[in-house]
Amino acid sequence: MAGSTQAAASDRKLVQFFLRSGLVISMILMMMGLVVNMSTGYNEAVPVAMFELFDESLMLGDRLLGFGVLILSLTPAIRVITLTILWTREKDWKFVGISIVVITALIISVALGGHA
Amino acid sequence: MILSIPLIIALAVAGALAGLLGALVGIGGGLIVVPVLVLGFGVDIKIAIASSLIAVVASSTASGSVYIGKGLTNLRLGMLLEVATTIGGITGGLIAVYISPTVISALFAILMMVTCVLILKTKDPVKRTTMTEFQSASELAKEDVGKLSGSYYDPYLKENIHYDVKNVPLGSFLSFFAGVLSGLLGVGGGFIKVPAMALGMKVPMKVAAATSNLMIGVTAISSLFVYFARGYVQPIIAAPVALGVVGGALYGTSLAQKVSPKLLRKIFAAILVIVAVQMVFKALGVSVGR
Repeated sequence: MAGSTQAAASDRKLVQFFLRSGLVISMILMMMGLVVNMSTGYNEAVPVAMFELFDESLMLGDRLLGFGVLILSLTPAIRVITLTILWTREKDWKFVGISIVVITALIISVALGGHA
Repeated sequence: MILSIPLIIALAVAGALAGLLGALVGIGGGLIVVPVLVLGFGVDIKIAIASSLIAVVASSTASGSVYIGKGLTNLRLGMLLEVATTIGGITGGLIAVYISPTVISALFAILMMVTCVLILKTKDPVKRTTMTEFQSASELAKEDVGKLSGSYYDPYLKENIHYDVKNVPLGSFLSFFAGVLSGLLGVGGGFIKVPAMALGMKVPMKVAAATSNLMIGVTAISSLFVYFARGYVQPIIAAPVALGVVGGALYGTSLAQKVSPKLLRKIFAAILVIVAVQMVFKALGVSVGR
């Protein structure tokens, strides 16, 4: 019993670490993007689509902002993947299966968004 | 739309106020961000919803990580219900792409009215005052492998609380509905998920609030991916709002321990009614002083 409690606490710490890291990195990228856009005078609100982030025509500030949004969006997904790995280690196959369904749904949402 | 430095600061302040108010009255910031962007800054409602979803993901990630550290989140229950919320979120996001902004504005106004009633009826939301002490007991919290049940130590009752989870089909159905609303209107949907878990699934209120908080992030990205892939994300608008919401929510969580939410809830409900009426006018194409 004590063993499983320890495992649960360390699992939570790992999930917490990924959530905080994703949030901090995305916030830094967004702040950098705003600073770059303001300092270069390129401050028009333009739509940035997920699949256009690597386009050469995209300005640096918008690219930084776009990657900030992308990393923030991926952070909850990384939490799901982390739990899938942790539960695989625990041989909790039922919840490994459930988390794979969630990951699949998220992949479908990207695909549907691109083709909607 | 050209964004000057003062306008970007105004967006960040608006986001901070949304996060602050949301934390103080116990709702997410999405319900405030969308009308503020639409009515206050003249942003298209679909871009406002995408911006709101980004802010919702940011605040959910920030507060969700805090709750996990306190051992109150049931990760397995969250994952199970996320099956329903992600499918709902995708459904809501796809519906929003195709329906007119007028219908979305009208639906948003209805949602604000409903939330107004719920806020006024809420007697005792989760007391943030208790949260600090959970940190020291977080090591004792655990989930049962292969099951939804779990336990946590309540420092106030000075006992280990073990709970089972009931009515999973009902919880999943309501979570799907919360996901649709989240994707369609850019809100977190916690006002459905928390009662669904606490009242429907018999999960302790603190666990329900913490688990809902974490789930909101995955729910929001399922529809955010649709908006992001379709080009409805304007990061220069969304970024200052998200930064502001996170700052406001973190400050609001600490401030919530010092202020009485009763009067605040009434003031907030009145603001919601006024803004909801303006959203209806906007939907009908009637000028409201802009």
